[in-house]
Amino acid sequence: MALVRVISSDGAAFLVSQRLAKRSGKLKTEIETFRKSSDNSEAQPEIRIVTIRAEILRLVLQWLQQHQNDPVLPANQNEQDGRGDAEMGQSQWDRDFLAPMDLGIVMELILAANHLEVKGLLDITCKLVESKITGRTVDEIRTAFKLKSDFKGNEEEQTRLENRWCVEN
Amino acid sequence: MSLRAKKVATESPAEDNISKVNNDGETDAVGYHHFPAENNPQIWLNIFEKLGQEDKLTFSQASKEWHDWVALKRTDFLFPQVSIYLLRAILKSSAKLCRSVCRSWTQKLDSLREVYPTDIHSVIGTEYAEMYNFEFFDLAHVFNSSNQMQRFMADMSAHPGNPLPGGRIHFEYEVDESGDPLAPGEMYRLRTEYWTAVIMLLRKYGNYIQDATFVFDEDEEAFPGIEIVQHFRNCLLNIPNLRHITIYSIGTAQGDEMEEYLRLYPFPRLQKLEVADIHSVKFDLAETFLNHCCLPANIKRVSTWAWIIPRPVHTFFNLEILEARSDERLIEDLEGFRYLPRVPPLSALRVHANSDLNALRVFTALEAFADTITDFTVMSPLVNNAAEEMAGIQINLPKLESIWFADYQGSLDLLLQITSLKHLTIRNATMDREKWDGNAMQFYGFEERLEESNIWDLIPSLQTITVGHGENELFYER
Repeated sequence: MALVRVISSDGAAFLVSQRLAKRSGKLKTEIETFRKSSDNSEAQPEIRIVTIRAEILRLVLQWLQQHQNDPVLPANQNEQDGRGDAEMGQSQWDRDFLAPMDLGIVMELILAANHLEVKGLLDITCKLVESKITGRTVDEIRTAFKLKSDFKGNEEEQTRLENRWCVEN
Repeated sequence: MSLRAKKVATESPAEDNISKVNNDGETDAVGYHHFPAENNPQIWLNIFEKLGQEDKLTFSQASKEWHDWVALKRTDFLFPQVSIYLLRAILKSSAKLCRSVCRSWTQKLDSLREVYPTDIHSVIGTEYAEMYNFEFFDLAHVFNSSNQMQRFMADMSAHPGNPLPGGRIHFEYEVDESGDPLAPGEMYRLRTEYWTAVIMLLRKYGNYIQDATFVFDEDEEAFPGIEIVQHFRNCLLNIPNLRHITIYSIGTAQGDEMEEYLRLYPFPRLQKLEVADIHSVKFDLAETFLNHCCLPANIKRVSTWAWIIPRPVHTFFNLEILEARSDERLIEDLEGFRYLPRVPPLSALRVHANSDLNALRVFTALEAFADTITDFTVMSPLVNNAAEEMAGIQINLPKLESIWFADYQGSLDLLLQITSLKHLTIRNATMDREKWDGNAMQFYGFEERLEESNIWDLIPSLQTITVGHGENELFYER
């Protein structure tokens, strides 16, 4: 089995099958670039992901492992066939995978999924964050995201006034 | 804390084909080994609070220890980074809600909305939006009467900055139909009052607007002669930062009079304009607008409902998306691009002709954009040649990945030439089963047996096929 070594920003190395790694658009490109530039066709590619720490990289790889037999979604799938993104791929496994995660971790996963071009993971993580916003009150959102209102002076009132004139098309 | 490069650790998701690795390549980093504040998180957190959003993210990624110190603040400083991806997921009705949560969310959402008009790949127009079921984050100010604008100006009189978050505005006069019918001349007076109020608003806040929609009125009683052009010109003079313009319905101005007026009072150049959507606008005026207002190097997308592609479009050498309603001259127009000194890098072409188009000629014309085109949509019937006429025909469109036909008539054998095709959509088709079953392509279009078609073997790149629409839509995946 052809392998690739993927190294996180904090130095952890993961040895992954190339077949699995290629389900990430970014890793696929890196592997192909390595192949083209390497004289030795047997050489093992090593890819450093300088923006993703080990804890998050491990989660991405776990998700890829679970979904290794899913069809690869094109980046613009939503425009292509009009289906909702998250509805297309979320399974009970996905729900269990995301359930224990802190929202901060989920946000890091969003950034990682985007960087590594893993569309399915990006969709379900965004959907999870969206579920913490839609239909909630401002105070509930602040609680869920551990945020404090940091508006100064009459900024909050001003924002409310601006919102009143805004139309959401 | 010691600022040393970390030893490459052993990590594993503990799954079948992700296994452990050992690495002993420890190295010393150049830098401080003992920084005076190294064990004092409070100092670092104080510094952290003063960083910009991008730097906060970098700070959190710099070391595990730093990451842990700020872990509880991730939902704040990561929101600006992830918001661009969240926008697709956040329901449109939640956008205003998010603006009310905290300053950084408000600022980020507003700044995203500012750059949104440059998302030239967003589909436009209700027809396309419906077709693609495309939803987008959209906060706009819509003004339908002069009273509304007066109230807005009064509300915002004490506003210290930009009262138009997102910089998107929509002007469309709506007749109050609740009262008695308007007396003669009243319609003219009300519309004049409306557009005068528009211009006053734009004089005050026009600098903040990046995306504007102007819906005029085709009613000749409302605006005889060139007054509508005068109002339009006065609007343009006050929106110097515009990046996306949508214009509907200027059809009444008389050619000679308008030409003379615009000779004396030309439209201003909109230096930042990138996207122009022009619908139901008198052809001469559309051409004049594109000629005067657009900087050819800046224009990325044009949508036009003129029946031929306006000449200035051929000068937009950086054009990426063209949407054109046209007639049978469309093909000649497209063929003309091939002879331009600088062929635009068109990636998407969406056409809607008022007559049948010959598929072979259309695809041959597309070869002008062979190096760049990835997405082709045809809203009008596309009719293919008989299979025997296509013998030996070679079509070179090596990057074309997505084709969307509203109505296709004939053999699909032509598609065998598109070796990069990944996604094919056909909403309606006229296929003579007996005739086509004998051809190379056995395309069982609208029955639930497309898996049996040999199209999957004949076009190895093909990933998805969508046929039919609405309740009858069928989606197939390789």
